[in-house]
Amino acid sequence: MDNIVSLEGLKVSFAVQRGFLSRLLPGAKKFVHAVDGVSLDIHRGEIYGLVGESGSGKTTLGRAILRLVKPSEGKIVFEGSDISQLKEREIRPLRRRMQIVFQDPHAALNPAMTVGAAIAHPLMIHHEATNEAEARPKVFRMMDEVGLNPPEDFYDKLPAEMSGGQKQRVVIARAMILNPSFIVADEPVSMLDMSVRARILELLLDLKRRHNLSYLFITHDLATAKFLCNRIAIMYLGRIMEEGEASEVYADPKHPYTQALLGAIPIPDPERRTAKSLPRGEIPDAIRPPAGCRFHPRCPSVLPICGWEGRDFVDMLAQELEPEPRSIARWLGPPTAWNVQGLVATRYIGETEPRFVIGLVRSLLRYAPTPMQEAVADVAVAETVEGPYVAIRFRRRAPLLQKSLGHRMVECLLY
Amino acid sequence: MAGKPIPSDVAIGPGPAIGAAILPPAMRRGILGRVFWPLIEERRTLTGIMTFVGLGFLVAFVVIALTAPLISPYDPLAINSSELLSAPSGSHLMGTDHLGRDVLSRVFWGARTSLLIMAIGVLVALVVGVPIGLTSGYLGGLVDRVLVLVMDSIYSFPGLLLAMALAAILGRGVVNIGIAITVIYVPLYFRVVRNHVVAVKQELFVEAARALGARPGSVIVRYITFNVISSIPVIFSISAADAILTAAGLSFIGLGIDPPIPDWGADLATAQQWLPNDIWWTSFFPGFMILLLTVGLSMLGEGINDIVNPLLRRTKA
Amino acid sequence: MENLLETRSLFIHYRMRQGTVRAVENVNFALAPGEAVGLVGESGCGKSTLAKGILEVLPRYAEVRGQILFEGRDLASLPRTELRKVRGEKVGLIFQDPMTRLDPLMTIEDHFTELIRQHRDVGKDDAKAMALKALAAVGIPPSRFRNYPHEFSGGMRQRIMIAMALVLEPKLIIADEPTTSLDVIVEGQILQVLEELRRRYGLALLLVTHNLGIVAETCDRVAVMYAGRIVEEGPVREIFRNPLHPYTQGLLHSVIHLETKELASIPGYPPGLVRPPSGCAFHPRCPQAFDPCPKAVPALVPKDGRRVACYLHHNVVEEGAADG
Repeated sequence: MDNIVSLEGLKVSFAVQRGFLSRLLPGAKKFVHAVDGVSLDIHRGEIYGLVGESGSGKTTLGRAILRLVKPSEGKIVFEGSDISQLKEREIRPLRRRMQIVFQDPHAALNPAMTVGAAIAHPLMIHHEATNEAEARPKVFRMMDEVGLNPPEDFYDKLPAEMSGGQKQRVVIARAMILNPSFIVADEPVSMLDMSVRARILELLLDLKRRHNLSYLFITHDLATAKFLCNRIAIMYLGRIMEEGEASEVYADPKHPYTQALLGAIPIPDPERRTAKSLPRGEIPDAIRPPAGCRFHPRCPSVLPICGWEGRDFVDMLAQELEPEPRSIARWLGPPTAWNVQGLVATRYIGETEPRFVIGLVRSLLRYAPTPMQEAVADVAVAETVEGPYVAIRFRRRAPLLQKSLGHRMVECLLY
Repeated sequence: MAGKPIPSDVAIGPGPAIGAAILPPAMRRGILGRVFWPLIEERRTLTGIMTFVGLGFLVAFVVIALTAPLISPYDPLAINSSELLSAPSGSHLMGTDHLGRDVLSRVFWGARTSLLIMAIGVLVALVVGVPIGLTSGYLGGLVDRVLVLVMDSIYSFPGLLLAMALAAILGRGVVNIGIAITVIYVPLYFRVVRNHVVAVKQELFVEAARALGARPGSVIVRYITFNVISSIPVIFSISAADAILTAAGLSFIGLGIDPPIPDWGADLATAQQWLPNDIWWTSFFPGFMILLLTVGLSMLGEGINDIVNPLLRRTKA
Repeated sequence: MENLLETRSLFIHYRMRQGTVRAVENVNFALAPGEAVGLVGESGCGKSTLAKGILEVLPRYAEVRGQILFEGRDLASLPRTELRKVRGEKVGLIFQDPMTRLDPLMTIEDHFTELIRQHRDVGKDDAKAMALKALAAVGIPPSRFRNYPHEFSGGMRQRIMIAMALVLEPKLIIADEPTTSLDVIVEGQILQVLEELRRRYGLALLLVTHNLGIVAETCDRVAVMYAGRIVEEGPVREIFRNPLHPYTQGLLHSVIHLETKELASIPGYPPGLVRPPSGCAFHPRCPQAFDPCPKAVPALVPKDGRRVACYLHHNVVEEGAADG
């Protein structure tokens, strides 16, 4: 199988912008780990769907493949060559082969350039034409192909004079004119009206057939991904949770996050209203993702070995303090009194009787999900230089590996 | 292009129109499309009227300045001792000054001086400030931070003071005043353009240009410049208005033009000693011209700003 | 039972440079207490204008004609103070983007205190108690009462908006695309919260959205808007099962869901509202358009358990329908 794109252990991290003063002061720089170790292959001629919510890193991944952002680690192989470390100048010629269609058609076009100029521009950048007059025939052909007919009418229009669907066609034409082999489609229809989406998706399919394109189709809409894609990957907080043939993933989702996503989709059929069980909370921030499996704090099928650590106990304590604080929680709180270091959470207990404290902790743990309780290795009080501390130690988690189940890949300890 | 059916979404319906005017293609781009045509569209609104009045003043001023030798009834330097400080009359519509020179002619010729100063002062600022602003905004980083610091320092100086200092150093003469004034306005052009560039840089279509493989130079010119160009006429008008006042101020203090050359500020300065004697015309007319031009330019600038900025907002559908 | 909200021959036009934008045209619409009604349509159909127009939160260049009755009283006839009371206390508003509605320089506590004390004469402590209660109902813990808006995630901000809409115990909530900017799981959570609160407090809901899925899940009735008019309106089950208006049919077909086998769309684009097509505004795009369609606007007439405005199903012309 010929892979048009191959990713190995790709990581993309951004430094978090800090204020002027905090930049002067010492302290670790914080990084957002938008993409945190992704390996995947996109076969030539396939539509590979990348599904995730906002904050999952899918948009960053798409841009990283096109080298619009610099990877921090890992390998990107495009059409057989490693492009991960190339300089900007070396990548420019490659841009004829790989292109992107953006989400927002209103923002993706230069308001000062006419349609004709915008579509002709790539030709001039890559020296396939020296001026617009020369490029015109090719531009006309392309406009015709994407459905901007008759081309003469649209050639001189400015973006402000066109509707969303028309603008998106211009964006597609501009991306296609150099005859690329690979296109990253980043939510290409999510900002268009419902009744227009189908036509743009049909156009994308049509172009794929005619030019033998490969697509990375990025979306948060599972239903569209199911319809369009050959294989899909579900992304959460920088990692891929599940990957497989689209129809199979939908028929039999393995990863609890996939199941949650599928369950959450509103169905436009009032006869089929079901009570939904949604995971609690929201996607956490990517600066300090949860340990082990990133989904474990929210997972309805979580196990004791999924990555519980000190932080989870303190978060649970914080939750138990609201809205009506339990007395146990009040004794053990506030959350800020706790120190967390990996698997261990500690708190200074002062004069309080150690056995009482341990009893409180154990009682509080009973309000936590069972897998978390089982993940606690022990609760003890230790004498330190600064006085007595209670320490809650969690068991070491199981290493999280990608499991292959037939043609499916799942990163989950349930399997 | 026979054969391919027209997809129905493209053929039917004009799509949601966002105030599209029917323009010939060439006119729609750049400054013409973004500024002048909408201006004509707005001609009946209050904003439009104000802008056209301002434009009218500016045009009248330029015409007067250019044709001064032709339209002045007298030689502005001609001393006529028999008609010292005579009030406005049939032969001297604006009266004469303390040397018998016709005020009207001096006002006309004074326009030339003002035009020259204004032109030098402001155009040079444009030629220097705008490119630096574009580059600084696009490159960012250390270069940008240093330039912003430098420009802000210059900008924070009271303009007239800075101009005075420079004029004192450079000496008198029209060109020197022009240079002194230039320096004051460079930071203004720099700042506005640079900030606009920084905003435009974040836009998706700039990232799209990179994705297409465009080189930074090309990106700046085609993608960024045209989009920031609309803020320039506004700064131009407002700084021109200010330049007139600064030049007048310098002349008033005596740091400006050499005495015999007609200049509104200088004439205003010499005229003030005669005011207690109820000699109003030697100060009124030059002062009034300064006022008219300044107000006109300000109206023009404000008007263009009002017209261009909502357009900017609207074009980002 | 008296209708909670009713519009009679409501017109909302905007006077703009390019002409008059006819955002809402002759809308007659009612909402009963405790009922959830969805207002659906695509961009430019007037649904947002209608929702905002009900509470007169429209820009100054908007012209409103017709009647808007809340609890039987014509809102236009109310003095400003009364109108404010209705707006703040009887009706709660939730908008699409919470970040633009929350002042970044004010804490949540400040927001609530200001809101509550504008409408009720209570002390700071009582106001705080009310606020905390509302926040608890949407799952925001009291420990975050003093946080600033930017310290919350998108989903939490939207919950805060809901809490603010609820704190004065309104009878009706108008939500304009409340979950459009949120992810599907968070959207599900928010809708669950809304549903729970509706049940507990007997709230009526006017949900403005383009997402037919959430209408199917949340609403009792639905009104479909096109070019400023309601073209079909009735019980959700009826309309989804058997849509009568060709636009409703087209819209339902074009939704991509998990069982979609092939893509469907409606040809053309939603019309501009300055010079809409003559007669039935949908006729240029309608696969079933025939003779009477371009001539005059069809009236919204009861048929088959709902109301529909289409000559395929009746031949009643809208009263006073002078086009142009």
